[in-house]
Amino acid sequence: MTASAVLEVRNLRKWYEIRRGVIPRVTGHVKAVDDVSFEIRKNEVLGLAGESGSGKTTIGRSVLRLIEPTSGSVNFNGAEITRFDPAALRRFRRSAQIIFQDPYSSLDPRMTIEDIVAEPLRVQRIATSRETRRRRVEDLLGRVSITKDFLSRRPGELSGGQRQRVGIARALAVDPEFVVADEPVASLDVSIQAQVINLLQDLKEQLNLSLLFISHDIAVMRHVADRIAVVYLGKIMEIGPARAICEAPRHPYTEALLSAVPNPDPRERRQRIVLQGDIPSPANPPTGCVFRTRCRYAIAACAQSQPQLQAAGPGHYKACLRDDVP
Amino acid sequence: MMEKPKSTLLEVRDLAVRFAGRAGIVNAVSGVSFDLAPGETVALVGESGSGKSTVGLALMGLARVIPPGSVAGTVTLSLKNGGRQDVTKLSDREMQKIRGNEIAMIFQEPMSSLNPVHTVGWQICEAITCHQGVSGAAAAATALKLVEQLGIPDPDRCLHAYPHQLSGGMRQRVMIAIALSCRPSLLIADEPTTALDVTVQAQILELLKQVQAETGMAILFITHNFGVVAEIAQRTMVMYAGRIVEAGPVDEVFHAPRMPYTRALLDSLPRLDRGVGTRLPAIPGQVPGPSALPPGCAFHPRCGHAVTGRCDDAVPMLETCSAGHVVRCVRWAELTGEAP
Repeated sequence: MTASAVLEVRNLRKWYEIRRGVIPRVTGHVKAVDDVSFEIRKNEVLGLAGESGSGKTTIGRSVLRLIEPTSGSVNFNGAEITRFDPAALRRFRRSAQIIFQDPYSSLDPRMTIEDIVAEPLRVQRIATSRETRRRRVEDLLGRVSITKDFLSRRPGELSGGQRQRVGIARALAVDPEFVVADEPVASLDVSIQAQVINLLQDLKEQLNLSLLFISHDIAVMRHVADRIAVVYLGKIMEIGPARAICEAPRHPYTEALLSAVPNPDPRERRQRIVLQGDIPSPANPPTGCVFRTRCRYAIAACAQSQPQLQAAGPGHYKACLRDDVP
Repeated sequence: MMEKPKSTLLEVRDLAVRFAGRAGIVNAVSGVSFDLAPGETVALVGESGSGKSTVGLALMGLARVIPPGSVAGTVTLSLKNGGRQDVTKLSDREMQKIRGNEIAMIFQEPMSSLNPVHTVGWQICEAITCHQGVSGAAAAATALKLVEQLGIPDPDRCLHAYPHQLSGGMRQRVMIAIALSCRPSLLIADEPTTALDVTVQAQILELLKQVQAETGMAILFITHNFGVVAEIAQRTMVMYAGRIVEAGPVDEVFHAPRMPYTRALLDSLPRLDRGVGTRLPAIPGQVPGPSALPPGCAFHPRCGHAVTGRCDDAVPMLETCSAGHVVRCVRWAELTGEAP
């Protein structure tokens, strides 16, 4: 393990059983996450990019043990969190938090903004007196530019952008070291997205945070992430520095994903690679390389064995048999 | 007003839609005027609450039905039989003949637009028999041809499938098949790719372009995604708080936006061709709700160029800044250095 790594994930798997029949028997597995390894260093943002069904949310939740992984190791600052008992898990949640995608369903509509942000403090028994807790909540909301007059309001009175800020303040309440941000801007309006992206960047600097930033939008990720991991059907296809991934992708899937992003410049209508078909079912993934059924460079050998991650540049790895593409 | 294309398919003049809400009358759309030529794609772009979807519903004659609103202004459509008709004056029964045959619409979430208890084939045939009064067998043949044309693999199986058995991209293809089934001259596409992954979005955009090239229909493409606008449209109209604030050829609006809102929005977009880790110039504040619009220019509280007394006084008029390019800002000329 690298000295500076906050989180180290090795061979993480999350398989869901498929049961069939009158007397249910396990007939197969949905391999939502299959043999995923990565690490996040101190004060680093690792972006997790992929389409729906790629397993990125499952990875994000598994590393916090909001979902129990099937196998593999998740090491947080030297401690193996997959072996934590409930008490240790509760202590772990002081250092690791999550920001959810949908600010409409992740805030309890019956609670006031103050109660929502104070809840993690109550649960973790931090700032136990009423006054210190209120001061802490005001300070947290101030960091995300929400004024005091919102304290007694409820989520229904807030806009989407404001709700997402409240969700961010709640995640930061316990002063975590590591935060999983699961599509934090996907449900926001275009003019609000930039505000929240900038806020996350500022908070990362001020609070020395490490972030796992999950998004389907690789353009958003480019602004936020230091490194990017591209996932497809529960596997990492390519991982490396954000600039290298966006400017010189070495995996055919990353290349296609980047080329599919519509460019808001009508003079630069690129020759795009349109992937055919849909993402295959994770219950019945293709043999060999899971991407080969949609890959324009696929050769016979791609069906034979699963390619392992191999070096493609400094700190840059790809899981592709072919060295000559793209 | 926007420059009039040589032949017009659709002529919208002073369209206004009002809804009666709990907080009183809400002006969802005000003073919207534009023309559409046959075979062209125009993008209507805006954030949520800008009124862009309401414009689409009003053209379909649906704004007065769901939810009940009052529609003012005229929507003149060139019909296939050569006549011209203001569709806002038609009864619901007469409108039924226009929908599907002349104007069709596709929506954001194909799952909630399709009926879960009928097969896809049944639903395509329903549209054909309803609007064209042909026999079931003839409708089934047309449906199969359509599904083949839209590049759906294994068309026969698709027709016998229920919506939940299909992926999001396939469902949207089915929606497009239903919309195209009666060969409309205008397709209103309301955020058709928003719920889809980028790779599937690319497939659907390609498909729409290809279908348009084959049929020559016009598309009014409603979206919040400027990237999609640049990919698919020739002209674009930007809406903010129920009004068109800028409209013109896509190239010009993107490269020389005159309205501060358009400029700020384009600047704030995360883009692949920007530097890694650069800060985005964000627009402060939030989109005003239609029941609490600021006086004067609706964008002035968020605008870096707003001047007290000029921008908060009266709603600015749409002014022509170059051929076919209009802008709703009292300061556009001085801001872009084009003052006379």
